[in-house]
Amino acid sequence: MKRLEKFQTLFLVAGIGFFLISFIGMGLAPWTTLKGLQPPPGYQPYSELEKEGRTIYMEEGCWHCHTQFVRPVSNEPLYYGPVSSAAEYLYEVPQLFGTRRVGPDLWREGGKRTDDWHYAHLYNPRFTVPWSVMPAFPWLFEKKDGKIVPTRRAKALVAYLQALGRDKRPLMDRQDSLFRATFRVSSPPPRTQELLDRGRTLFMRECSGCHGEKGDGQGKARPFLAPPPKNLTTVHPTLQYTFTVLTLGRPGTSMPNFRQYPDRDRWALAYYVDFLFKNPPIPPEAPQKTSELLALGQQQYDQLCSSCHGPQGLGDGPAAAALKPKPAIFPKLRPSVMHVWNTLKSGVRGTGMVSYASLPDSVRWALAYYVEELTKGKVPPPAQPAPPAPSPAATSKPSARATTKPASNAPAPTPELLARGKQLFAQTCVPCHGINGDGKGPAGAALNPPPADFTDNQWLSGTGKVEEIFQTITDGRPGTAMAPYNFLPEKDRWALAYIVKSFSDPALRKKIP
Amino acid sequence: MHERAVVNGKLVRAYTYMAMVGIVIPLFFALIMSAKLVWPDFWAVSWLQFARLRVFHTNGVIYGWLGLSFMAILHYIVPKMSGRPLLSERLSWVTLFLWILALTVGLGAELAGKIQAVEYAEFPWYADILFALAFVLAGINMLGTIFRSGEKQLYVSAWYFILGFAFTTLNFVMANTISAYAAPGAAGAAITGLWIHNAVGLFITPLGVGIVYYMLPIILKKPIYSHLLSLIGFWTLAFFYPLGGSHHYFFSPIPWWVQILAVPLTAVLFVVVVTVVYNWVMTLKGSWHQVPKSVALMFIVTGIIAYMTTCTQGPFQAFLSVQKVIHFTDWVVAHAHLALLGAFTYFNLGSLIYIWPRVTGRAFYKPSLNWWGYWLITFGFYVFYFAPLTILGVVQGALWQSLTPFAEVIRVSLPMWFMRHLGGWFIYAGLLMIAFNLWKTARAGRPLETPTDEADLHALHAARHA
Repeated sequence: MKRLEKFQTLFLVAGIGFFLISFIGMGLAPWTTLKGLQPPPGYQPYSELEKEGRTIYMEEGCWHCHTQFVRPVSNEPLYYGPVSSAAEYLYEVPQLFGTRRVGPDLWREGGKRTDDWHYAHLYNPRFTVPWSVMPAFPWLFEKKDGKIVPTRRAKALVAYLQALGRDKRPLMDRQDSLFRATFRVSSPPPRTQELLDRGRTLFMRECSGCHGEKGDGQGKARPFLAPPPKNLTTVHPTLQYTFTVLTLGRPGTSMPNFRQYPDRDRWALAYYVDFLFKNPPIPPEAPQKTSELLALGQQQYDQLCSSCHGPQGLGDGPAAAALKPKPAIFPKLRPSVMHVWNTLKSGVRGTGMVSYASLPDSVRWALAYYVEELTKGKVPPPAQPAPPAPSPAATSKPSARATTKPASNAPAPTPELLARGKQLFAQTCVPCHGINGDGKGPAGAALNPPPADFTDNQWLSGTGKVEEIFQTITDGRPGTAMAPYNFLPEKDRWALAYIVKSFSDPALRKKIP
Repeated sequence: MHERAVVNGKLVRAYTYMAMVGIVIPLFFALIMSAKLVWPDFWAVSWLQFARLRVFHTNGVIYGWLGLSFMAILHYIVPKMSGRPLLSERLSWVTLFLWILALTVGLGAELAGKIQAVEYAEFPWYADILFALAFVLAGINMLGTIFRSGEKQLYVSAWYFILGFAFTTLNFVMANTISAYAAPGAAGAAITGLWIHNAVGLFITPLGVGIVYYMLPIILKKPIYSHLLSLIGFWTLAFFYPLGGSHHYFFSPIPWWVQILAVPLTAVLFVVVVTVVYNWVMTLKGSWHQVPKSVALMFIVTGIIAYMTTCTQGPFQAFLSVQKVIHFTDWVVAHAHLALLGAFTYFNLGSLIYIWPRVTGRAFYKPSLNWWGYWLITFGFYVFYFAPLTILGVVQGALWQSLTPFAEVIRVSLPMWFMRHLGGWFIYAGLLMIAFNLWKTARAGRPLETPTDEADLHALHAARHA
């Protein structure tokens, strides 16, 4: 009996002993060889919000379908980005390497897509990626005033996703800019029915979530995205331009690149986008396109639009370099007259393109017609470089141009005036200067020089008198994205000046109804 | 010595019923889950989110079905093998209660979105404690019975059971403490790799293999072929199996020497499976004609073939050139199902079907239902699940390698994923038939006049002295 017990104990000891051998040899030993690793430069510990997001990532089991390491084999560096290294995982407890890729690897995901894109995608993946089989996470969102907005949990999760691969972000950005710099468009293959069919298939598979099945920009992801997806039925981009955007994406918007698709597929998509264009008819009440109207359009364009869109609509105005997304290049995007007219009216959410709804209809028609001329490349380049603003052409015009007129007849800040100003500010200035006037508007983030901060009582010209602010609104600030707003009625400009002033003047602020 | 004196039929039945619940529910969720890969917005509520279902399915099957069915079978085998009743039958009831409590709490928490991020150990910590407690109690009861055995020699099954309980207790604790809360990054992956690998290799494998070592000679009424091969198979498993865990993370940032070592240490497992399976096949030699007549044998023998296949796949998959292609793909999903469904679920179903008349004292309500179950599961699994997913895995890997857009890979996968869903219905139908048959037999089967275990016991004695 004694001998027998020993025999049984042998197996018990074996069970414990072999566990210890494996744990020490294959668990602890690698751990000790990893001791002393230093985190790579740029690899910061997670913020509180990102940590919260990581917990949600774990609890929702995201790691069961998304891996978090890029292998040095199977062309993965070409597909996802730089290969993973051990030092990049020092803050990962527990590690989330994952063992199955139902969806793509995420270790280099940070910065590849916009937050907007991620929100739409989390709310329902089919909104941005129609072919996706990922589950929807509507419980990370809530309804506020009829709009679906992300909860803190969704924000945390997206913050975490954007932090993945943060140390390799500068490297990947450099690689991307190198790719962009060396990218040249090839010539399109001949248009065939087969190519067009392929284009339709791909459009439905990859594009219809945002741009809509008809290409009218009314896809399901639209409410989440700023800037919203382009209406492809009212613009008629050149094949080469569509191909370029498909290859490079459109930075500053949620439009990703589709480089993974071979050239032929991207040409197929370009042909399909070309096919989608339905030139919307100009309503009969619109004025005729006359040379006078075009002249007015040119004059207004030079003042209002050319600082971003450039004198010939090539998107190369002085302020363009600072903008993300870049201003439209009219001869490439080829917007229809109605597209320009509607865009002038509504502006484009989340970009530097503000609403010009306060322009008179006739001026907007003039601008729309003039942009059509630019689109067709009918406007010759100026003989010499345009002199710095204010241009001499502008001063000779009859409208309420106030450049030379000293402003001293400021009206009193009545509640009506302030109310009007508040409304105008929200429409016109918020995209750059922000709802709180602190220069932190969604479109302002990318501007250089940055939009002025009105809250600090520091003034770029003068000492913050309402008259000086009025003058800046009227003249704009050459070399920046601040356009002259002299098209606004004088009273409106005064109203705006008071609002701008109010951000650093609490007494005035209290008077705003 | 009469088996009724040592086996508590009530306990075996209770564990079996719970084990059936432990497979019927997780497999129902698996059906929904496989549907969601094809129709992702189907039944889109938070607690049926894909990943939550996945962990419910894997944890439910490992701890619920396989865990409880092992226990059911061990409650039959261990007393008989040890020639004495269980250490404590009351402890068995307590264990069963705790085990179910752990499952209910753990699986419920998973559906509520409280998943711990360690694969196959996704229970949150409070359920971990409950489960560890249940497992340790079960171990004490089983090992205590074996240690107090009156038999002169320790049968090979007992070696495996002792090894499995001792190793897995430590392994489970390691996963839920060190992997989940302490080890960072690559070090954590090395340890998690050990856990994943050994959860299969030193929990499910030793218990399953031990059961087959017991069932084959009993059913065939002849001794095991070679004692020496049993020894080699056991000790190579015990020594080599726990070392290859990092092969779950090849080409990862785990130190390269660990990954390189994992290749030969995994390749050597081929020796383990060949010795064990050769031993079984040689035991079967001369008795193959019996196999088609017994559904229990059919299950076990089909399981042996699957075991051989899956354990041959393993070392093959650990070659780096193969890893490049098949890692992260559905190949691995098929491989895992071949092990847990094709091999061990088959072993357990076969064993339960053999045991059932002996613990209920009744003949099967409808033996044909068992046969229907066998053929439905086998057909559904191999034709609609294993074959398509294995092929799909290679295709997915090759497409990724050639930088195909992800959408194309999903598009290629969808028909195969649909077949998998169909296969799920076959498997589920077969399983329901067997579960129904077991339940109905205990209630309304024709009572057997003579206990049939007498002869088996003699066979076992013969096996021991061979």
